[in-house]
Amino acid sequence: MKKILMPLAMLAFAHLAFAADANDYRGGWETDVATSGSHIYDFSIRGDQVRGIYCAICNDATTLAFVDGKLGDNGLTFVVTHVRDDGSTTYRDHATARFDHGQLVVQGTSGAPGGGKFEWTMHKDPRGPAPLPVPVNKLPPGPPVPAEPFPVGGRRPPPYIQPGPWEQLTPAKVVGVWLGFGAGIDKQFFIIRRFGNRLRGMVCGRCDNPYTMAALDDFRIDGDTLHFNILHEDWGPGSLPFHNQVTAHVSQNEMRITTQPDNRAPPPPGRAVFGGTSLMGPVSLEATRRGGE
Amino acid sequence: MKMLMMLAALTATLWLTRPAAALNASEVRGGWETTLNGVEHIYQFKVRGDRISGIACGDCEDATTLAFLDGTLGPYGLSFVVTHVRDDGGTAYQDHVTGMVDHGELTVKGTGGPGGGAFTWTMHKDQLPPMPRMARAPAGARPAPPPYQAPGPWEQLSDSRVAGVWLTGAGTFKQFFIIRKVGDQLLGMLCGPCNRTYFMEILDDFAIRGDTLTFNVLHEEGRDAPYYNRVTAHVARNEMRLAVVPTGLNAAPLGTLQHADMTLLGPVSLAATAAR
Repeated sequence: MKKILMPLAMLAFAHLAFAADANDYRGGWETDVATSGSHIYDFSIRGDQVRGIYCAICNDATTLAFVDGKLGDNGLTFVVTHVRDDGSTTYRDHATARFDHGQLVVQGTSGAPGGGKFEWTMHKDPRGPAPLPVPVNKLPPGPPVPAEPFPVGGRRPPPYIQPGPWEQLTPAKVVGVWLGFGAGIDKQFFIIRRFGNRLRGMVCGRCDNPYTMAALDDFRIDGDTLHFNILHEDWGPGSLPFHNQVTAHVSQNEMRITTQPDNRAPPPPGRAVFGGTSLMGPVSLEATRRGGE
Repeated sequence: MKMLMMLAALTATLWLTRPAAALNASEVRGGWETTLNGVEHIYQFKVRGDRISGIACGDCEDATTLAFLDGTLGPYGLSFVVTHVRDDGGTAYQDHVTGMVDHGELTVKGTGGPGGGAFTWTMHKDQLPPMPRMARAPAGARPAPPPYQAPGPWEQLSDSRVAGVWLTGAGTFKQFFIIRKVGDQLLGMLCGPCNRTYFMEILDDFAIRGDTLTFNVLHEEGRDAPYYNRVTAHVARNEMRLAVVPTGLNAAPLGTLQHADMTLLGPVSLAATAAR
C-alpha cells in the first residue's frame, strides 16, 4: 500500500511543480534589442485561453500582429497572425513559451518570407508601469507604483464640448491609429486593425515598454457607439488582471472615450469612472512607419 | 443748365463709385463666410499690396474641400482664381471669381466647380468676435508641466511626410492644421472651430530643410494684423512639434500664447476628414 501511495504523492507534487501559473505569463514581454532585435508580446490569459498582441516596433502600426493560443502545463502554445490592411492573413508564426526563473523562453517558427526558426529569451521591462493618479499594481507582485497627480494644477479644465454630432460608425471609420493622452514620449497610440471580419488592436505609450501597452479586443459597434476592452494583464489600478471597458464616440476626427474597469464597482448610472479623453485620428497605419514613408 | 445737370450726374456717379475706388486691403483681408444649403463656404484673404492669396473651403475641417486662391486687388474690387487640387497636387479645376466689398459685405460672382456653373454669393464677416488673446496663468498658479521629451529623433522631412491634417486640442476648439501639395509647393490652412472665420488662418511660405519644416501663419485680422507667426516644426512618431514666434509684431507681450511651443498629432489623411 505504501508503495502505491508514494508514486501518487510524487505525481501530485509533480503537478504542483509544473502546472503553469497564468500570472507568470500574462502581460508584456520584450527581447533584448541588442541581441535579438525588438520583439514584444503581450498576453491576456483567462483560464487556458490566451490572446494578445505581438509587435516589433510597437508605434509602427504595420508591425502589429495578433496572438491566440493555450496555456498548458508546460507553458504557452500560440499562433501569431500577421494581417494585411483588409484583415486577411499575411502569414503566421507558431511558437511556444516557457516561464523560467523570471524569464520567458520562446521558441518558434516564423511564417514571414525568409523566416525560419527563432528562439528568444524575453524579460519584463525593468522600468515597470507608468504612474497614474492612483497606485498602480503590477506583475510579478511587488510594491505598487505610487500615485502621481497629473500636472493639471489648480484650474479646472474647461468643460468638454464635442466638435459635432457623433457619427455613425463602421469598421472602416475606426480602423487606423488614434493618438492621445498628451504629447511627447508618453503619447498613446490606440491602434485598431481589421482582423478577418472583426477588429482587434493595441494601445501603447510609450511604445517600447510592455508595461505601458495592452491589447484591445472585444470590439462592438452599435450605431454611433464603439465598445471595446483594454486588456490589463500585468499592470493597472486594483486587482489584476482586469478589463478596462471603453465606450467611444467619433466626431470630426476625434474619438471621445470613457472607461469603466471591470475590477471596480460601476458608478451610478450615467457616469463613468473615467470621465473622458479625446484621441485624434485616424492616422493611417502606413503613416506610423518609422521614417514615415 | 443741361451741362450742370450732366456734371451733377457725373459727380453723383463718381461718388457712388468712390467706395469701390477706395477699397483698401483692410476692408478685404481675412475671413468671409456664407452658408449655402447648410454648408458654409469660406474665403480667407491675405493681401499684400495689390496681390491677393489665400484659401477657400467648404466644410472646412473636411480637408478635401481646401482650395487655394490667387488674384489681385484693384480699384474696383477683387479678381481671383480658386484652384482646387488633387492629393498629388495637380489641379482638379479652377473657379474664376470677382468680388466687391460694400457696406461690410463681400459680394462675389464667379464660375467654376466641377460643373462649371455660375454663382453669386453675399459673404459676411463672422458674427462672433475673435478669441481674446490669452495670457498664461500667473507663475505659481499651477505647477509647471513636465519638460517636453520628444518621442524619438526628428525625422527627415519631405512634402509627402508633412502633407495631411495635423490636430491639436479637443472638442469644438480642436485645431486642424491642413497641409496640401499644390503643384510643387505646400500650402495650407489652420482652423478650429472650422466654421468660424476668426478661428482660421492661412499657412504659407513652407520650406523644408532636412528635419526642419518652416512656415508662416498669416494673421490677417485682429489687433496688430497683418503679421506672421513664424513656425519652426519638427516631426517624430506622428507628432509635429512647433515653435511659434511672431514676426513684425511688436505689441505681443512675452509670455502670451503666441510665444508657445505646441504639439500636433497626425498626419490624418485628407480623405479621413471628408464630409461626414
